[in-house]
Amino acid sequence: MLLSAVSLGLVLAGDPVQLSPEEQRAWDRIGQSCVVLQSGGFPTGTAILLDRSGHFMAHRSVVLSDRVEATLRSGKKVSLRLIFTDEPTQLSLLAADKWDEPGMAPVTVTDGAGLVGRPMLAALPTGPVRGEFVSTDRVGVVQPSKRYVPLSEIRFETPGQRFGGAMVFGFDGRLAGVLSATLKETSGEADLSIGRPLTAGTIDDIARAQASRFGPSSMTVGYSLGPEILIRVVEGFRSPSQRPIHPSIGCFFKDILGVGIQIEVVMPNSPAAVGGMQVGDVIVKAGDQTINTSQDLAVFLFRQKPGTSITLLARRNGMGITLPIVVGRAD
Amino acid sequence: MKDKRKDLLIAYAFGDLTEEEMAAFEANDAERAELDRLARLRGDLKHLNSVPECQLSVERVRDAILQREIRQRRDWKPWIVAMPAAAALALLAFFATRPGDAPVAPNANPIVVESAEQKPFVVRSEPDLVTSPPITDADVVQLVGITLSALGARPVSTDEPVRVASLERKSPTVPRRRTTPTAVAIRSESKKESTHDRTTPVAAPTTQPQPIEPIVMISNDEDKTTGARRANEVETSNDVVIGG
Repeated sequence: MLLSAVSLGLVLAGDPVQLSPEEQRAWDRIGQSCVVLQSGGFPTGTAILLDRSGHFMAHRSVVLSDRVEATLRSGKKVSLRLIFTDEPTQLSLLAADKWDEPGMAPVTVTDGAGLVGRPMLAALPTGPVRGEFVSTDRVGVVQPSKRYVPLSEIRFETPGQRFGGAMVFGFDGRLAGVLSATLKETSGEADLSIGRPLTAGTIDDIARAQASRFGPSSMTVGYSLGPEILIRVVEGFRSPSQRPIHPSIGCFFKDILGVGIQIEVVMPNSPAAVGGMQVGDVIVKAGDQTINTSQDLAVFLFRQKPGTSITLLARRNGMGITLPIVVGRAD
Repeated sequence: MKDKRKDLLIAYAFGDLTEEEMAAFEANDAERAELDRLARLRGDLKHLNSVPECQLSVERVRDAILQREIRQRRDWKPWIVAMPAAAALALLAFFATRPGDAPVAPNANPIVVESAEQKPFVVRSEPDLVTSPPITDADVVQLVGITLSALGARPVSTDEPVRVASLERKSPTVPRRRTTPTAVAIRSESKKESTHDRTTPVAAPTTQPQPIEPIVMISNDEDKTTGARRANEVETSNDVVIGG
């Protein structure tokens, strides 16, 4: 209880990080839709308010059980229950048991325009972490599903604590990403909290270290879910079904040097199989778009809507064939 | 030492230096002189747009040699087959047209089997560069070590497309992209000039290697320090299986 109070105080009352006035204004805007998740009395991460009904979104890695506690900016605590986790993105939908907080505003999601080169803030339980967007159109492949995911590349000042699953915001307060992966940990001191029990003193140490380490010498390269897929997931969570819809035709492909984009696997009874796709087909065109790399095909398929018809032009045994396929959805 | 200097130049040109490094780099007299030299070189290259480029390149010489070799290999087999066939045909015709016991006289006219003529590879004469300084590709590579496009130079006009692949900058392994005002300025300037001033394309777009962003592979393992998944970048999409 004491621990919760201390961490809450760090986050909501006295921010230990020296923020510029612009950063402080951005952090205040973020605070209107952001809550701190706790499990067993320990802060685990942050979640954002999706609607006025009390639905929240958080990364699965910070939701340690089916029922977690959230601390609001006002200091009030609410209980959240896990409803659903979107597998491709690992984003979880949570719902408050009772929700009546007019002072909090549902988050809005940026469309990604103009983000590159702009500063950002990542929301951690102990405060914000600064960084900037390097790119918003990176191609990500998530293992083991091998699914394509659009990513944003972010460089941010290395915090002295775990930050996986942190919500990433632009300075306008809009959600711009959810930190999913890191390329490399450049700071040797970043394990300050790892292996140490969280106490009031520990949290204070983390906050001080975090404040003193801000600077260009300790930067971490991270990848967050890009705005394109973020919008899709948020809209899906806000829909009556509360499920994001990801298109799929049920095949796996790869670039083969000197050959092209070759189909490796066709899932049985999938839209690709129904459309006549076979292993070994070389895809050369999708719709009106020429396919030069597997990334091209992945992006093309990602942007389709389930139920729409597409035509793939393929090469099979030296002959050109067309494959009419109705896009399905990944479950 | 020279390589390190080149790396610094490349990093500077692509905006990969930090502000401190950039300031230190620009404060160095030798480096500043080199930058001025590159700027002049870039200006000189602009004057080359109306002058046909030298048509002799490593690629063309190589292609010419390969073509000759292929033709020779293709041609020698018919030669061997055609010789005895032609001789047999001549003998048959001789006996058919001159029956009797007349002695067989040696053929006064030798049998000639024609083969495809080997067209010699003609190197066009180098244009007279009266109005432009004699700058060669090798000079650019040696002095700069980066692409012409990175310098903002636009392609020179030619009467025949010639690839300048030898001038392409090798993909750096160390510097990662970092969007800085310098880099943005260089790229945008290069793009703008190549759009407005191009007279003849140097090579068809389909033959130019397109830069491909590295793919970010996100593993299922969690980084114990950061709490996020581990990611690594692969430079090529070859053999990366993607599901769709």
